[in-house]
Amino acid sequence: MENCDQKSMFEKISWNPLFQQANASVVVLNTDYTIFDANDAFMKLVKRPKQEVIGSFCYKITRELDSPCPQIYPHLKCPMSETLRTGETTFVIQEIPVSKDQVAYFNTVTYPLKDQNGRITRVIELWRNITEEISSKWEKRIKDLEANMRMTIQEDRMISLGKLVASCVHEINNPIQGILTFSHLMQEMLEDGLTDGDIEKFKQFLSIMSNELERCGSIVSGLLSFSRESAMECRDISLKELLESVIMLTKHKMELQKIELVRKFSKDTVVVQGDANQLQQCFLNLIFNAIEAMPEGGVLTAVLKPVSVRSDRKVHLEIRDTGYGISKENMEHIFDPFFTTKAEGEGTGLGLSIIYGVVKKHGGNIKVKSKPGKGSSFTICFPTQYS
Amino acid sequence: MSKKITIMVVDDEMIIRESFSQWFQKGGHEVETAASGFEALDKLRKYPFDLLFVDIKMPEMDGIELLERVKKEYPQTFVVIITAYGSIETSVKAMKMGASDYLLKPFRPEQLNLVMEKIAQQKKLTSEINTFAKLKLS
Repeated sequence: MENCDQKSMFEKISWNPLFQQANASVVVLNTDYTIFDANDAFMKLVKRPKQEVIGSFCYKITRELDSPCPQIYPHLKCPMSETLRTGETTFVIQEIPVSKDQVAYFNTVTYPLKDQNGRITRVIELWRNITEEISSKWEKRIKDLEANMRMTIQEDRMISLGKLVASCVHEINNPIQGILTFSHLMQEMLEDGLTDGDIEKFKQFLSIMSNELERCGSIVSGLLSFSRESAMECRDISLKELLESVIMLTKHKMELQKIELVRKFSKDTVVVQGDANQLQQCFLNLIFNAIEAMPEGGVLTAVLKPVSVRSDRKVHLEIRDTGYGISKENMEHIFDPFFTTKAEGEGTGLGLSIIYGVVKKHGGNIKVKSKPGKGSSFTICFPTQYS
Repeated sequence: MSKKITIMVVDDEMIIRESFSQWFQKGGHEVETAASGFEALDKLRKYPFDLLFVDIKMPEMDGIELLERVKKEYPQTFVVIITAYGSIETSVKAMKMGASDYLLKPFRPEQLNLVMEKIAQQKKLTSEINTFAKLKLS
Protein backbone atom coordinates (compact mmCIF):
# COMPACT_ATOMS: atom_id res chain seq x y z
CA MET A 1 0.00 0.00 0.00
CA GLU A 2 2.76 2.36 1.06
CA ASN A 3 4.87 1.60 -1.94
CA CYS A 4 1.91 2.03 -4.17
CA ASP A 5 1.18 5.43 -2.68
CA GLN A 6 4.74 6.56 -2.95
CA LYS A 7 5.01 5.29 -6.48
CA SER A 8 1.95 7.18 -7.59
CA MET A 9 3.18 10.24 -5.75
CA PHE A 10 6.46 10.14 -7.59
CA GLU A 11 4.73 9.58 -10.86
CA LYS A 12 2.68 12.63 -10.09
CA ILE A 13 5.80 14.56 -9.28
CA SER A 14 7.56 13.35 -12.37
CA TRP A 15 4.74 14.49 -14.61
CA ASN A 16 4.15 17.65 -12.71
CA PRO A 17 5.07 20.58 -14.98
CA LEU A 18 6.63 22.29 -11.97
CA PHE A 19 9.01 19.37 -11.60
CA GLN A 20 9.81 19.08 -15.28
CA GLN A 21 9.96 22.67 -16.31
CA ALA A 22 11.34 24.23 -13.20
CA ASN A 23 14.46 26.33 -13.60
CA ALA A 24 15.80 24.58 -10.56
CA SER A 25 17.23 21.14 -11.01
CA VAL A 26 15.33 18.52 -9.04
CA VAL A 27 16.70 15.11 -8.30
CA VAL A 28 15.13 12.34 -6.23
CA LEU A 29 17.64 10.09 -4.48
CA ASN A 30 17.33 6.65 -2.98
CA THR A 31 18.98 6.20 0.41
CA ASP A 32 21.88 4.36 -1.26
CA TYR A 33 22.71 7.57 -3.19
CA THR A 34 21.34 6.22 -6.47
CA ILE A 35 19.23 8.56 -8.50
CA PHE A 36 15.60 7.56 -8.60
CA ASP A 37 14.44 10.36 -10.82
CA ALA A 38 15.53 13.77 -12.02
CA ASN A 39 14.06 16.57 -14.10
CA ASP A 40 15.33 17.94 -17.42
CA ALA A 41 17.13 20.82 -15.76
CA PHE A 42 19.22 18.33 -13.82
CA MET A 43 20.12 16.36 -17.00
CA LYS A 44 21.14 19.61 -18.60
CA LEU A 45 23.24 20.48 -15.59
CA VAL A 46 25.13 17.20 -15.56
CA LYS A 47 25.15 17.08 -19.38
CA ARG A 48 24.06 13.42 -19.51
CA PRO A 49 21.06 11.61 -20.96
CA LYS A 50 18.27 10.52 -18.66
CA GLN A 51 18.91 6.75 -19.10
CA GLU A 52 22.48 7.24 -17.86
CA VAL A 53 21.45 9.35 -14.90
CA ILE A 54 18.64 7.24 -13.51
CA GLY A 55 20.00 4.48 -11.30
CA SER A 56 23.50 5.92 -11.12
CA PHE A 57 25.11 7.21 -7.96
CA CYS A 58 24.72 10.93 -7.50
CA TYR A 59 28.43 11.39 -6.66
CA LYS A 60 29.39 9.61 -9.88
CA ILE A 61 27.11 11.79 -11.93
CA THR A 62 27.95 15.16 -10.34
CA ARG A 63 31.62 14.74 -9.47
CA GLU A 64 32.81 11.55 -11.14
CA LEU A 65 33.56 10.00 -7.74
CA ASP A 66 33.26 6.38 -6.63
CA SER A 67 31.90 6.92 -3.17
CA PRO A 68 29.93 9.70 -1.42
CA CYS A 69 31.79 13.00 -1.67
CA PRO A 70 32.63 13.58 2.05
CA GLN A 71 34.33 10.18 2.25
CA ILE A 72 36.82 11.27 -0.39
CA TYR A 73 36.93 15.02 0.32
CA PRO A 74 36.16 15.52 4.01
CA HIS A 75 35.82 19.29 3.51
CA LEU A 76 32.87 18.81 1.17
CA LYS A 77 29.56 19.11 2.88
CA CYS A 78 27.00 16.75 1.35
CA PRO A 79 23.37 17.68 1.94
CA MET A 80 22.27 14.11 1.23
CA SER A 81 24.58 12.59 3.89
CA GLU A 82 23.51 15.27 6.35
CA THR A 83 19.85 14.54 5.78
CA LEU A 84 20.38 10.80 6.10
CA ARG A 85 22.21 11.41 9.38
CA THR A 86 19.84 13.93 10.94
CA GLY A 87 16.57 13.10 9.24
CA GLU A 88 16.09 16.81 8.64
CA THR A 89 16.04 19.20 5.72
CA THR A 90 19.57 20.41 4.95
CA PHE A 91 20.82 23.42 3.13
CA VAL A 92 24.27 23.56 1.53
CA ILE A 93 25.98 25.75 -1.03
CA GLN A 94 27.96 23.45 -3.30
CA GLU A 95 30.74 24.16 -5.70
CA ILE A 96 30.41 21.88 -8.72
CA PRO A 97 32.92 21.69 -11.58
CA VAL A 98 31.04 22.34 -14.82
CA SER A 99 34.00 22.26 -17.16
CA LYS A 100 37.77 21.89 -16.91
CA ASP A 101 38.41 25.37 -15.60
CA GLN A 102 35.00 26.49 -14.46
CA VAL A 103 32.93 25.89 -11.39
CA ALA A 104 29.34 26.72 -10.68
CA TYR A 105 27.73 27.40 -7.33
CA PHE A 106 24.49 25.72 -6.30
CA ASN A 107 22.21 26.36 -3.47
CA THR A 108 21.08 22.82 -2.57
CA VAL A 109 18.16 22.00 -0.32
CA THR A 110 17.10 18.49 0.59
CA TYR A 111 13.66 17.30 1.65
CA PRO A 112 13.52 13.80 3.16
CA LEU A 113 10.53 11.58 2.33
CA LYS A 114 9.66 9.30 5.23
CA ASP A 115 7.53 6.21 5.65
CA GLN A 116 4.97 5.70 8.42
CA ASN A 117 7.74 4.68 10.85
CA GLY A 118 9.64 7.86 10.17
CA ARG A 119 12.33 6.08 8.22
CA ILE A 120 13.73 7.97 5.26
CA THR A 121 12.84 6.27 2.02
CA ARG A 122 13.99 8.86 -0.45
CA VAL A 123 15.38 12.37 -0.51
CA ILE A 124 14.41 15.13 -2.89
CA GLU A 125 17.22 17.56 -3.73
CA LEU A 126 16.58 20.97 -5.23
CA TRP A 127 19.52 22.62 -6.93
CA ARG A 128 19.45 26.27 -7.78
CA ASN A 129 22.33 27.80 -9.72
CA ILE A 130 23.48 30.91 -7.88
CA THR A 131 26.78 31.45 -9.73
CA GLU A 132 25.71 34.67 -11.39
CA GLU A 133 24.10 35.98 -8.25
CA ILE A 134 27.28 35.29 -6.30
CA SER A 135 29.62 36.77 -8.87
CA SER A 136 27.63 39.97 -9.09
CA LYS A 137 27.70 40.15 -5.30
CA TRP A 138 31.44 39.53 -5.33
CA GLU A 139 31.99 42.17 -7.93
CA LYS A 140 30.01 44.59 -5.83
CA ARG A 141 31.99 43.61 -2.75
CA ILE A 142 35.29 44.13 -4.58
CA LYS A 143 34.11 47.50 -5.86
CA ASP A 144 33.07 48.46 -2.32
CA LEU A 145 36.46 47.42 -0.97
CA GLU A 146 38.27 49.42 -3.64
CA ALA A 147 36.14 52.44 -2.88
CA ASN A 148 36.84 51.99 0.83
CA MET A 149 40.57 51.82 0.15
CA ARG A 150 40.41 55.06 -1.84
CA MET A 151 38.43 56.70 0.94
CA THR A 152 40.87 55.46 3.57
CA ILE A 153 43.82 56.83 1.64
CA GLN A 154 42.04 60.15 1.24
CA GLU A 155 41.18 60.26 4.96
CA ASP A 156 44.78 59.49 5.83
CA ARG A 157 45.84 62.31 3.52
CA MET A 158 43.57 64.69 5.37
CA ILE A 159 45.02 63.62 8.73
CA SER A 160 48.55 64.15 7.42
CA LEU A 161 47.45 67.47 6.01
CA GLY A 162 46.23 68.51 9.45
CA LYS A 163 49.64 67.70 10.90
CA LEU A 164 51.37 69.54 8.05
CA VAL A 165 49.21 72.64 8.27
CA ALA A 166 50.23 73.31 11.87
CA SER A 167 53.92 73.38 11.06
CA CYS A 168 53.49 75.12 7.70
CA VAL A 169 51.37 77.88 9.20
CA HIS A 170 54.21 78.57 11.59
CA GLU A 171 56.62 78.66 8.71
CA ILE A 172 54.46 81.02 6.68
CA ASN A 173 53.83 83.26 9.65
CA ASN A 174 57.47 84.29 9.87
CA PRO A 175 57.79 85.62 6.32
CA ILE A 176 54.41 87.33 6.73
CA GLN A 177 55.64 89.04 9.88
CA GLY A 178 58.87 90.07 8.20
CA ILE A 179 57.21 91.37 5.05
CA LEU A 180 54.62 93.23 7.11
CA THR A 181 57.37 94.89 9.14
CA PHE A 182 59.40 95.78 6.05
CA SER A 183 56.41 97.29 4.25
CA HIS A 184 55.46 99.45 7.24
CA LEU A 185 59.08 100.50 7.57
CA MET A 186 59.30 101.42 3.90
CA GLN A 187 56.10 103.44 4.14
CA GLU A 188 57.51 105.41 7.05
CA MET A 189 60.78 105.95 5.21
CA LEU A 190 58.84 107.28 2.23
CA GLU A 191 56.87 109.67 4.39
CA ASP A 192 60.06 110.99 5.96
CA GLY A 193 61.60 111.56 2.52
CA LEU A 194 64.16 109.25 1.00
CA THR A 195 67.89 109.74 1.24
CA ASP A 196 70.40 108.22 -1.21
CA GLY A 197 71.24 105.48 1.22
CA ASP A 198 67.55 104.61 1.57
CA ILE A 199 67.30 103.51 -2.06
CA GLU A 200 70.01 100.92 -1.43
CA LYS A 201 68.13 99.80 1.66
CA PHE A 202 64.91 99.53 -0.35
CA LYS A 203 66.64 97.28 -2.86
CA GLN A 204 67.93 95.09 -0.07
CA PHE A 205 64.51 94.90 1.65
CA LEU A 206 62.70 94.13 -1.59
CA SER A 207 65.09 91.34 -2.41
CA ILE A 208 64.54 89.72 1.01
CA MET A 209 60.78 90.22 0.68
CA SER A 210 60.52 88.63 -2.73
CA ASN A 211 62.66 85.67 -1.70
CA GLU A 212 60.46 85.11 1.31
CA LEU A 213 57.29 85.49 -0.73
CA GLU A 214 58.56 82.82 -3.08
CA ARG A 215 59.15 80.59 -0.10
CA CYS A 216 55.55 81.17 1.06
CA GLY A 217 54.37 80.42 -2.44
CA SER A 218 56.15 77.09 -2.59
CA ILE A 219 54.84 76.09 0.84
CA VAL A 220 51.30 76.96 -0.19
CA SER A 221 51.53 75.12 -3.50
CA GLY A 222 53.05 72.14 -1.72
CA LEU A 223 50.08 72.04 0.63
CA LEU A 224 47.61 72.55 -2.21
CA SER A 225 49.06 69.79 -4.32
CA PHE A 226 48.93 67.59 -1.28
CA SER A 227 45.31 68.27 -0.40
CA ARG A 228 44.07 67.84 -3.95
CA GLU A 229 42.05 64.69 -4.40
CA SER A 230 42.75 63.32 -7.82
CA ALA A 231 41.98 60.17 -9.69
CA MET A 232 44.77 57.63 -9.71
CA GLU A 233 46.99 58.50 -12.64
CA CYS A 234 50.09 56.69 -13.67
CA ARG A 235 53.00 58.69 -15.03
CA ASP A 236 56.79 58.96 -14.85
CA ILE A 237 57.81 60.39 -11.52
CA SER A 238 61.20 61.58 -10.37
CA LEU A 239 61.52 60.09 -6.89
CA LYS A 240 64.10 62.69 -5.91
CA GLU A 241 61.75 65.58 -6.71
CA LEU A 242 58.86 63.92 -4.94
CA LEU A 243 60.93 63.21 -1.86
CA GLU A 244 62.21 66.79 -1.83
CA SER A 245 58.63 68.10 -1.91
CA VAL A 246 57.79 65.99 1.13
CA ILE A 247 60.96 67.10 2.90
CA MET A 248 60.07 70.72 2.21
CA LEU A 249 56.71 70.23 3.89
CA THR A 250 58.20 68.53 6.94
CA LYS A 251 61.51 70.40 7.24
CA HIS A 252 60.23 72.88 9.73
CA LYS A 253 58.78 70.21 11.98
CA MET A 254 62.13 68.44 11.95
CA GLU A 255 64.04 71.61 12.82
CA LEU A 256 61.79 72.37 15.75
CA GLN A 257 62.12 68.82 17.02
CA LYS A 258 65.92 69.02 16.82
CA ILE A 259 66.10 66.41 14.11
CA GLU A 260 69.06 66.49 11.78
CA LEU A 261 68.24 65.53 8.21
CA VAL A 262 70.85 63.66 6.21
CA ARG A 263 70.21 63.22 2.48
CA LYS A 264 72.06 60.49 0.64
CA PHE A 265 70.66 60.83 -2.86
CA SER A 266 72.24 59.24 -5.88
CA LYS A 267 73.15 61.62 -8.71
CA ASP A 268 71.16 59.55 -11.20
CA THR A 269 67.67 60.66 -12.08
CA VAL A 270 65.52 57.94 -10.65
CA VAL A 271 62.17 57.59 -12.35
CA VAL A 272 59.33 55.29 -11.39
CA GLN A 273 55.96 54.76 -12.98
CA GLY A 274 53.22 55.63 -10.57
CA ASP A 275 50.74 57.93 -8.94
CA ALA A 276 52.46 61.01 -7.54
CA ASN A 277 49.83 61.69 -4.90
CA GLN A 278 49.88 58.20 -3.49
CA LEU A 279 53.66 58.00 -3.45
CA GLN A 280 53.88 61.40 -1.82
CA GLN A 281 51.46 60.21 0.84
CA CYS A 282 53.53 57.11 1.33
CA PHE A 283 56.80 59.05 1.82
CA LEU A 284 55.10 61.55 4.06
CA ASN A 285 53.82 58.76 6.31
CA LEU A 286 57.32 57.28 6.48
CA ILE A 287 58.88 60.63 7.37
CA PHE A 288 56.16 61.44 9.91
CA ASN A 289 56.71 58.04 11.54
CA ALA A 290 60.44 58.71 11.75
CA ILE A 291 59.84 62.18 13.23
CA GLU A 292 57.34 60.83 15.74
CA ALA A 293 59.79 58.09 16.75
CA MET A 294 62.30 60.78 17.78
CA PRO A 295 60.48 63.20 20.12
CA GLU A 296 63.79 64.10 21.77
CA GLY A 297 65.54 64.72 18.46
CA GLY A 298 67.87 62.53 16.45
CA VAL A 299 69.02 61.90 12.91
CA LEU A 300 66.73 61.18 9.98
CA THR A 301 68.55 59.72 7.01
CA ALA A 302 66.91 59.58 3.59
CA VAL A 303 68.69 57.37 1.06
CA LEU A 304 67.81 57.13 -2.61
CA LYS A 305 69.86 54.87 -4.83
CA PRO A 306 69.43 52.83 -7.98
CA VAL A 307 70.19 49.13 -7.69
CA SER A 308 70.81 46.79 -10.56
CA VAL A 309 70.21 43.11 -10.08
CA ARG A 310 71.22 41.43 -13.34
CA SER A 311 68.96 43.05 -15.94
CA ASP A 312 66.46 44.15 -13.29
CA ARG A 313 66.61 47.85 -12.57
CA LYS A 314 65.32 48.86 -9.19
CA VAL A 315 65.51 51.79 -6.85
CA HIS A 316 65.93 51.68 -3.10
CA LEU A 317 64.45 54.39 -0.96
CA GLU A 318 65.34 54.18 2.68
CA ILE A 319 64.10 56.30 5.58
CA ARG A 320 66.13 55.68 8.71
CA ASP A 321 65.67 57.14 12.18
CA THR A 322 67.47 56.98 15.50
CA GLY A 323 64.27 56.77 17.51
CA TYR A 324 62.46 54.27 19.74
CA GLY A 325 62.66 51.31 17.40
CA ILE A 326 60.03 48.57 17.14
CA SER A 327 59.77 45.71 19.60
CA LYS A 328 59.81 42.12 18.35
CA GLU A 329 56.17 41.56 19.36
CA ASN A 330 55.03 44.65 17.48
CA MET A 331 57.11 43.94 14.40
CA GLU A 332 54.74 41.33 12.98
CA HIS A 333 51.74 43.67 13.35
CA ILE A 334 53.13 46.97 12.08
CA PHE A 335 51.52 46.66 8.66
CA ASP A 336 48.15 45.56 10.08
CA PRO A 337 45.43 48.14 9.58
CA PHE A 338 44.49 49.97 12.79
CA PHE A 339 47.54 48.66 14.66
CA THR A 340 49.06 51.52 16.60
CA THR A 341 51.25 52.04 19.63
CA LYS A 342 50.37 55.71 19.81
CA ALA A 343 47.93 57.14 22.33
CA GLU A 344 44.31 57.40 21.28
CA GLY A 345 43.72 60.31 18.94
CA GLU A 346 47.37 60.53 17.93
CA GLY A 347 47.36 57.94 15.22
CA THR A 348 44.85 56.07 13.12
CA GLY A 349 47.00 52.98 12.86
CA LEU A 350 46.61 53.21 9.09
CA GLY A 351 49.88 54.90 8.13
CA LEU A 352 51.96 51.79 7.53
CA SER A 353 49.16 49.76 5.99
CA ILE A 354 48.66 52.58 3.51
CA ILE A 355 52.39 52.61 2.79
CA TYR A 356 52.23 48.86 2.25
CA GLY A 357 49.20 49.15 -0.04
CA VAL A 358 50.73 51.92 -2.13
CA VAL A 359 54.09 50.15 -2.44
CA LYS A 360 52.44 46.91 -3.56
CA LYS A 361 50.27 48.80 -6.02
CA HIS A 362 53.47 50.18 -7.59
CA GLY A 363 54.99 46.75 -7.94
CA GLY A 364 57.41 47.33 -5.09
CA ASN A 365 58.17 45.77 -1.75
CA ILE A 366 59.08 47.07 1.67
CA LYS A 367 61.57 45.86 4.26
CA VAL A 368 61.85 46.89 7.87
CA LYS A 369 64.81 46.65 10.20
CA SER A 370 64.65 47.84 13.75
CA LYS A 371 66.48 47.70 17.04
CA PRO A 372 64.48 48.77 20.07
CA GLY A 373 66.07 51.86 21.56
CA LYS A 374 68.34 52.36 18.53
CA GLY A 375 66.02 53.18 15.67
CA SER A 376 64.28 51.78 12.62
CA SER A 377 64.85 51.68 8.92
CA PHE A 378 62.23 51.25 6.21
CA THR A 379 63.46 50.38 2.74
CA ILE A 380 61.16 50.46 -0.24
CA CYS A 381 62.23 48.84 -3.46
CA PHE A 382 60.55 49.98 -6.71
CA PRO A 383 61.02 48.78 -10.25
CA THR A 384 62.39 51.67 -12.32
CA GLN A 385 64.16 53.12 -15.29
CA TYR A 386 67.08 55.44 -14.58
CA SER A 387 69.56 57.37 -16.61
CA MET B 1 59.43 106.84 21.45
CA SER B 2 60.74 108.11 24.72
CA LYS B 3 64.10 106.92 25.99
CA LYS B 4 66.55 104.99 23.81
CA ILE B 5 66.93 101.41 24.83
CA THR B 6 69.26 98.61 23.74
CA ILE B 7 67.45 95.77 22.08
CA MET B 8 68.26 92.26 20.95
CA VAL B 9 66.06 90.33 18.50
CA VAL B 10 66.39 86.58 18.99
CA ASP B 11 64.86 84.55 16.17
CA ASP B 12 66.05 81.70 13.96
CA GLU B 13 64.35 83.33 10.95
CA MET B 14 66.55 85.74 9.02
CA ILE B 15 63.65 87.88 7.78
CA ILE B 16 62.41 88.50 11.32
CA ARG B 17 65.86 89.50 12.56
CA GLU B 18 66.46 91.75 9.54
CA SER B 19 63.08 93.47 9.47
CA PHE B 20 62.88 94.02 13.24
CA SER B 21 66.40 95.36 13.51
CA GLN B 22 65.77 97.78 10.62
CA TRP B 23 62.56 98.86 12.27
CA PHE B 24 64.25 99.53 15.59
CA GLN B 25 67.21 101.27 13.93
CA LYS B 26 64.77 103.60 12.23
CA GLY B 27 63.39 104.38 15.68
CA GLY B 28 66.92 105.32 16.72
CA HIS B 29 67.60 102.34 18.95
CA GLU B 30 70.65 100.22 19.33
CA VAL B 31 69.87 96.77 17.99
CA GLU B 32 71.64 93.45 17.95
CA THR B 33 70.35 90.17 16.59
CA ALA B 34 70.89 86.54 17.52
CA ALA B 35 69.89 83.49 15.49
CA SER B 36 69.74 81.19 18.51
CA GLY B 37 69.41 81.13 22.27
CA PHE B 38 73.09 80.33 22.63
CA GLU B 39 74.13 83.29 20.51
CA ALA B 40 71.85 85.52 22.59
CA LEU B 41 73.44 84.35 25.85
CA ASP B 42 76.89 84.93 24.34
CA LYS B 43 76.00 88.50 23.43
CA LEU B 44 74.42 89.14 26.83
CA ARG B 45 77.69 88.14 28.48
CA LYS B 46 79.52 90.82 26.52
CA TYR B 47 77.05 93.66 26.63
CA PRO B 48 74.01 94.56 28.74
CA PHE B 49 70.66 94.73 26.93
CA ASP B 50 67.51 96.42 28.16
CA LEU B 51 65.09 94.39 26.12
CA LEU B 52 65.01 91.07 24.30
CA PHE B 53 62.41 90.06 21.71
CA VAL B 54 62.47 86.27 21.76
CA ASP B 55 60.74 83.83 19.44
CA ILE B 56 59.29 80.85 21.33
CA LYS B 57 59.84 78.22 18.66
CA MET B 58 63.52 77.86 17.92
CA PRO B 59 65.59 74.76 17.32
CA GLU B 60 67.99 73.65 20.03
CA MET B 61 67.24 76.15 22.81
CA ASP B 62 63.64 77.37 22.64
CA GLY B 63 62.40 80.80 23.73
CA ILE B 64 61.05 79.56 27.07
CA GLU B 65 64.42 78.11 28.04
CA LEU B 66 66.20 81.30 27.01
CA LEU B 67 63.69 83.35 29.01
CA GLU B 68 64.35 81.22 32.08
CA ARG B 69 68.12 81.64 31.81
CA VAL B 70 67.95 85.37 31.07
CA LYS B 71 65.64 86.02 34.01
CA LYS B 72 67.97 84.08 36.27
CA GLU B 73 71.24 85.60 35.11
CA TYR B 74 70.10 89.09 34.04
CA PRO B 75 66.95 89.88 36.04
CA GLN B 76 67.05 93.55 34.98
CA THR B 77 66.65 92.61 31.30
CA PHE B 78 63.11 92.73 29.97
CA VAL B 79 61.97 89.86 27.75
CA VAL B 80 59.08 90.02 25.30
CA ILE B 81 57.98 86.69 23.90
CA ILE B 82 56.95 86.37 20.25
CA THR B 83 54.88 83.39 19.26
CA ALA B 84 53.15 82.27 16.13
CA TYR B 85 51.10 79.67 17.84
CA GLY B 86 48.74 82.01 19.60
CA SER B 87 48.65 79.40 22.27
CA ILE B 88 47.42 81.11 25.40
CA GLU B 89 49.02 78.41 27.55
CA THR B 90 52.56 79.11 26.35
CA SER B 91 52.06 82.83 26.68
CA VAL B 92 50.67 82.46 30.21
CA LYS B 93 53.61 80.21 31.07
CA ALA B 94 56.03 82.80 29.68
CA MET B 95 54.38 85.62 31.64
CA LYS B 96 54.53 83.57 34.82
CA MET B 97 58.22 83.00 34.22
CA GLY B 98 58.83 86.71 34.08
CA ALA B 99 58.19 87.78 30.47
CA SER B 100 57.09 91.40 30.33
CA ASP B 101 54.71 90.93 27.44
CA TYR B 102 53.95 88.76 24.46
CA LEU B 103 53.14 89.36 20.81
CA LEU B 104 51.24 87.02 18.52
CA LYS B 105 52.59 86.77 14.98
CA PRO B 106 51.65 88.30 12.63
CA PHE B 107 51.30 91.77 14.16
CA ARG B 108 51.75 95.32 12.87
CA PRO B 109 55.24 96.59 13.69
CA GLU B 110 53.69 99.62 15.46
CA GLN B 111 52.87 97.16 18.21
CA LEU B 112 56.59 96.78 18.82
CA ASN B 113 56.67 100.50 19.64
CA LEU B 114 53.71 100.20 22.02
CA VAL B 115 55.38 97.34 23.84
CA MET B 116 58.62 99.28 23.99
CA GLU B 117 56.95 102.39 25.35
CA LYS B 118 55.31 100.31 28.04
CA ILE B 119 58.63 98.79 28.93
CA ALA B 120 60.47 102.13 28.84
CA GLN B 121 57.89 103.47 31.29
CA GLN B 122 58.33 100.43 33.47
CA LYS B 123 62.07 100.88 33.34
CA LYS B 124 61.73 104.56 34.25
CA LEU B 125 59.43 103.68 37.10
CA THR B 126 61.80 101.02 38.39
CA SER B 127 64.78 103.36 38.29
CA GLU B 128 62.76 106.10 40.01
CA ILE B 129 61.75 103.68 42.74
CA ASN B 130 65.35 102.60 43.10
CA THR B 131 66.58 106.20 43.37
CA PHE B 132 63.83 106.98 45.83
CA ALA B 133 64.72 103.93 47.90
CA LYS B 134 68.39 104.90 47.87
CA LEU B 135 67.53 108.47 48.93
CA LYS B 136 65.40 107.22 51.75
CA LEU B 137 68.09 104.85 52.91
CA SER B 138 70.74 107.53 52.94
